[in-house]
Amino acid sequence: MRQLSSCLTHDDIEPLPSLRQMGEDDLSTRLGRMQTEAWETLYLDHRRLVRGVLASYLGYVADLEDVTQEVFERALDLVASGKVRPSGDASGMRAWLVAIALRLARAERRRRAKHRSDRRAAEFEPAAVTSGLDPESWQVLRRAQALLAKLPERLRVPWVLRHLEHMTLEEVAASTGVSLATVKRHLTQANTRFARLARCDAVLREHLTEGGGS
Amino acid sequence: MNEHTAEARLAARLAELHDAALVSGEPQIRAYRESWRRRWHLAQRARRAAANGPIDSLASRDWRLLFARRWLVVALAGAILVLIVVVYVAGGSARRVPIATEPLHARQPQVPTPAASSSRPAALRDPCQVSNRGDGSHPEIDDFEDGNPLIEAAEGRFGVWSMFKDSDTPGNFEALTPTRLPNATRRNRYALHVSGGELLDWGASIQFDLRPSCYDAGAYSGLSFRAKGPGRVYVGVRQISVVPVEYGGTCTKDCYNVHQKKVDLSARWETYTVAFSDMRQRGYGTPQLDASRINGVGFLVQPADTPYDFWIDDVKFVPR
Repeated sequence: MRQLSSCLTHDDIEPLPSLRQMGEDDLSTRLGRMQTEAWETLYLDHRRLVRGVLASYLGYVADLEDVTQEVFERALDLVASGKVRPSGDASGMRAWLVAIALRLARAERRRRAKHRSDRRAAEFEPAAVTSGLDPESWQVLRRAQALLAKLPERLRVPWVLRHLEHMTLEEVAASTGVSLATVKRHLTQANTRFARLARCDAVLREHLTEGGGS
Repeated sequence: MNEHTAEARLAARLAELHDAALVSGEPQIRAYRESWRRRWHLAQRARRAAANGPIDSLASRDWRLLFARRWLVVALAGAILVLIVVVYVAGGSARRVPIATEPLHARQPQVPTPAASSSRPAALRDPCQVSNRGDGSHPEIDDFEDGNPLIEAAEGRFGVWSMFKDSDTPGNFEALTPTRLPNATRRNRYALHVSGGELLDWGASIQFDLRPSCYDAGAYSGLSFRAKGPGRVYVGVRQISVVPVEYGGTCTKDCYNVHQKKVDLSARWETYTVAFSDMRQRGYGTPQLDASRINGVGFLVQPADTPYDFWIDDVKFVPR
């Protein structure tokens, strides 16, 4: 499992040593007690994961951080209201946050679709993040997103979580609320269909060949 | 060639680009929303939630850990400072008599003379000797998006939204905090929402007092705001000449006869503009509003228009 400690370098908050060493059970207990430091640790450790899930759903847009924040706020509300008790293990925590992120991403996409049909759509449309990657890489990424968008959600979401976010099958199952067997079946179908679409795409085809696109 | 290997290679390449895109977009995202605001917001939410849930209270924590977080200390100090300002200003406003504290029918004489409502003995010191002047560069008074009861501090303006009604204990009212809109968007989340039952005396007032007590809005020609009713409000601008001497004004007779204009609100959000020249005092032949000597702005609800329920947003001056 990819550990998200690398995210910490992206932020200028330096967690206190005692919090860095916080164990999973300890973190869960502290979250339940609504300790600010625990929530901050949760945020720092899972921000990259949540952003990744949202990006694959909504695109690499500038207001991604806003929606990411909403995911953590929703999580906080759920725990504060007593509806949810934070999971004791890291895997369950990841799955829980991703499930919230997916729900919010769906709502956000509906909201954007609604505003797009509005006359003032341009006003609400967030700008795409275009800096950093070279144009060729952007092209590959955008083409892949376009092809993924053609897959039904039940296939696309497991594919993204498994291949882009490197989640385990169990985590994918917990996040999407289906059984392990169903996840496996959906992943197989998604792999097949995505590969078929990629072979028909001029940009992605070369990445399917030996040494291409590297 | 093994198809599975090719698919796995493509997936790995996409994962790599996905990672790179998220990391490379970081500076731009940071510029979009500065991270301290997010962290502070999260911490604030946690504290608020902790107040209602099982708490490991602040007092029981290690204070060294608390002070190791400089941003938290700075944020707390800022919050305390804002609280002190709000309490001070609200307390000051409470000591001042609001726009319409007297029942309208009790005013004497029934037909005021032109000079009566703005009489200013020559011996009195002019409160507008110290005044801030708007230069027309920032017409927006408050869009309420900051979620606090303060108006936007610009062009020397400062004030706190407050509401009081005839059923309140005199001199006892609270700052009016904006309410989250039911259909909030990212650009428009908050507005003032006021509602209440039937009032029998002079009604209700939603207003802010300008500090210092005299403001020169001569660069502007009127007020504009968005509102949703249905209902009727009177948009009022109080000039210093209608404020009694004992409260820092210059009025000695028939005070608080503010300049106002009736506005009928529709059931949908609409923008309303009221020119200063259209605002009138009660009676007739009264002097026109002197925009260079403004003391406060308010929305008044008359007893006849109660019960009331309306929203106000994007209050701004209209540039000439």
